[in-house]
Amino acid sequence: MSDTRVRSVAIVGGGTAGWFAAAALGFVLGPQRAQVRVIETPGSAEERLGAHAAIPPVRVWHNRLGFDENDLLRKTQGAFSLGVEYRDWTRAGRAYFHAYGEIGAPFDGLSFHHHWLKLRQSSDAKLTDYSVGAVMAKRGRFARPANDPSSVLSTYGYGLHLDAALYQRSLRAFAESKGVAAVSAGVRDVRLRAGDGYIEAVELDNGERVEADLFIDCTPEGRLIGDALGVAHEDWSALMPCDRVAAIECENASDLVPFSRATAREAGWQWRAPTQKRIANASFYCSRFQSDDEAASKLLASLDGKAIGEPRLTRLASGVRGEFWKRNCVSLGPAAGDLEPIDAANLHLLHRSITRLVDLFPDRECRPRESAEYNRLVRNEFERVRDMAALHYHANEREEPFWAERRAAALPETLQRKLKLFRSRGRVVLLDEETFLEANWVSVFVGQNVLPDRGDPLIESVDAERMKNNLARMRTMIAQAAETVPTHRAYVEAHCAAPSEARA
Amino acid sequence: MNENRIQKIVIVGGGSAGWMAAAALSRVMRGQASIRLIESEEIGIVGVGEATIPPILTFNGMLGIDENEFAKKTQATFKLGIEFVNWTRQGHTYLHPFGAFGIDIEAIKFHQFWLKLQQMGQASPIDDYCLSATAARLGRFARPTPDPRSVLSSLAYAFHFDAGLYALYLRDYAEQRGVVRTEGRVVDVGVRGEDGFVESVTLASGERIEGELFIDCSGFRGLLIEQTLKTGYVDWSKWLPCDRAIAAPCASASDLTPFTRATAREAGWQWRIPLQHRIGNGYVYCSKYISDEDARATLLANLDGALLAEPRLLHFTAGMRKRFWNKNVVALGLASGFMEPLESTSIHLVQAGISKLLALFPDRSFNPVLIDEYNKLTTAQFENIRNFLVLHYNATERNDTPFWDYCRTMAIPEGLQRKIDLFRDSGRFFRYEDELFAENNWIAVMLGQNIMPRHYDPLVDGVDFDSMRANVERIKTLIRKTADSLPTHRAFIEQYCAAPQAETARAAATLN
Repeated sequence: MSDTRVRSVAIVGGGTAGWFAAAALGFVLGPQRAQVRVIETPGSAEERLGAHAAIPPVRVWHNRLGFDENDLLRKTQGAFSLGVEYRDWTRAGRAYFHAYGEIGAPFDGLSFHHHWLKLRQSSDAKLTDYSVGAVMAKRGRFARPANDPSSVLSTYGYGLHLDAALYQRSLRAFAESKGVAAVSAGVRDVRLRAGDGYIEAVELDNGERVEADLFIDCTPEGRLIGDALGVAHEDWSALMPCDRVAAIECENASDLVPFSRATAREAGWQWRAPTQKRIANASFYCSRFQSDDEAASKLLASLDGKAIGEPRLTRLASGVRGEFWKRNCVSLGPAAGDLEPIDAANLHLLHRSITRLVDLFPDRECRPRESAEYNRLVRNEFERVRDMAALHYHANEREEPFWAERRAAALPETLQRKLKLFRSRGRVVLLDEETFLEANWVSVFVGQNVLPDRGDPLIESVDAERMKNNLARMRTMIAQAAETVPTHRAYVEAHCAAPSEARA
Repeated sequence: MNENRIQKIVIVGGGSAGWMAAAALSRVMRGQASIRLIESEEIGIVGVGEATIPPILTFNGMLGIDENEFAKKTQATFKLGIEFVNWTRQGHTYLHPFGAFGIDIEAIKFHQFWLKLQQMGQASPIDDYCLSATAARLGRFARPTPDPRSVLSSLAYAFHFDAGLYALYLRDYAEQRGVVRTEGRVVDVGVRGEDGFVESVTLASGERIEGELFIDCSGFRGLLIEQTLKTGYVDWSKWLPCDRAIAAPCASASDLTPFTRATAREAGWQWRIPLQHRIGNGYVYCSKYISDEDARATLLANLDGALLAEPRLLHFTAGMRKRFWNKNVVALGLASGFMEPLESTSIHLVQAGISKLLALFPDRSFNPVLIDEYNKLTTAQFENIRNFLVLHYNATERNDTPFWDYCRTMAIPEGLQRKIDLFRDSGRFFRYEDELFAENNWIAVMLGQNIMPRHYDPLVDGVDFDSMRANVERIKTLIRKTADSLPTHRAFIEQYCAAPQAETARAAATLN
């Protein structure tokens, strides 16, 4: 049997994408099977945002790699996240919370939200009053969920806030412990094999020539997948219009809230994610509606603590690569796709892409069957997350020109289908490769004031008293359970407080 | 209170489909709408769907029925999978078991390790790594435990039951919950002038029954969905050429196998479904390649016991309605489409239709958004199941009859070709659109029909070989030990759910 295994992988570009790929592939392949090298190109190590805010599935890969979560949080100044608070998206002064995990519990064969919708007129209880995660978040409390499935404290999920530079450093240390080698150099040229156009080698500006069986493009601009292999970038700015980002960290003076926040602004939105000692902030805005100076000064004026340094301005072009994987080159991170992180799913999309790459890991031939399936699956994942972001933008009642344009934007067919079904009867359509499930979509629909025209007809057969009592009982149980949980700060102090020495 | 809600539901046709719909709707409606079911004893039921797949447990659970009680009343036996005989080639046999093969190691699918060991000549047959398959081969059965740490939790099962008794059982259930049954034959259908919605049906007795929502369970002819609404039919006979079946019960054999058997024959295949009181048999064939007389003779020559009733002949065309829900009519069962019961999907399609209808339940405005979604989801489900069936016919080495030559060389649907290509390449599989049959099912059938991947997942080589081999060996030993500890299928039924003997005899007499 001839040996056709991949013996060498070159990851071009560092950053979270490059080092995450290095950690995962270093772990999965092991140093005896294949040599994994990272070429840290200039600028690729810089993170656009000061922190990652990540939804709960981020923990899947951490577990697979054997990370001790408390240890990771200590090393990355990390904190917990029960969800995202959206402020002012529908109109100024209105806020809602998208909590991870379940909302209430289904009964009499109907999802919980149908019962809530039915009682909505006669009760002032909010949907989030039935979500443990949301109730804990509101009270600044956190503990990891209970293992006992009969406890109401087992029904929420949590994501993480991780300092981006420190997370990258942790991933790098892990990758290096798995035998991954790194070099810092720029790419001078990409050499394609005569005949089939596979990448043969990258030539570096230090004179070195790096050959590999498989190339991973983690350069922010797509130096390999785009420039060398000619795969075009597909522009999604019609749905995610912010083309500029101003980011800055500030000191975390006040209490440590266990969630991130997305606040709509006149020409975009502002993001806020606290870690143990800092708060990462960023303004996402559209240059057609706001100047860089105005955005930066508004960002500075809105911080909750003393600014650390100056705002960093970067460009953003939301969209995806027409093919993520072509021949023997797989793009990951911004080279593959970049989205406004309205729903904290960017790190998740990176992780999922690597899961798919591992599921479909090729041998040296890199047969098109694998790349075609990979491209189909990963594209689905990106589109589902795009649709959720588009929903936030679409369902707004704000008056500024930026927001009026958002309301008028044409929606993808998949999102139209979701909106129609929810509007007609409160039904959630779930497609293949959804990141967000029923409770997540319900949270955002209801939060954005997208409500069904009519209730579910089957709800009429549920006894009204029984429904009222059930809901009241759930609310009380949740409120009581949330009180038994420590504050987020106290929980962090007890389990994963970062050492107090200054950052290196 | 929604004033526009549906208050009158009319189900046209009994049989498994009609009574399943009546039972589920009566459970969920709790008296909020009147439910009437019209059936005619003159017409009788087809009742081919006597074998089921594991999701039937969900349906039973939704109705809140006691499984042992149900099994007693329907002469049920347990089913751990399907044995396919002579499909790949003459003399070849494989099992499509319910439940998983082995345990994934380091997030790599178990079958990938098996493929490597197999290439090295160090693997046992893949069935040895699946508890349902191993227990099936040994004729043993017990219910799985909920404890995920126990191997016994990996067992998955469904039922074989008498479709006639099943309909009676559900009828009893539905009538207790207020469903009104009317005996009679529909002779006329009243349609509303402005939009063509069905308004009423008139019986031979002259009675006119009005409704707002009609469920068409009238069988192949599709009394409302087709004869009245002219919905149209998508013909799949170029992929599934069988167009007839001849069915007959025979006396039970000595051993009670906990699986269905599907044996490929010269122009189709024969089913064998063991029940407590008899065995159901049928030959599904293509009339282009064999005469009715020869098909009948083939069936009669291949029974395990004495013939209990005159064989019945059925005609069908594989395919589906263009729309399953049209205006205010939802078609279920044979009225919605037909796929041969090769993977026991008939009852399941009814169940899936009901649960989608409940999830998208309309009011009297019949919002087209709900109808479109129902049709979209159901079409995808039919097509995915169709592709799974076509796989059985196409992935064969048989060249001994013109029928098999046709099946082996026909062009197959694009989505199926993609799945086969990806699997043949490196054993990879991804599920589409929440399809019914999952990875394990496809792997079982693809390997069973000898679609051998050319390569295994390259990451398998990254796992330490000796410990992997030891692991795989341990799984096999544990599965065998667990299977050996189970009671025989017969003993399990005797202990928990044997149908009373008298009833057995009567049922056998009246139903045949």
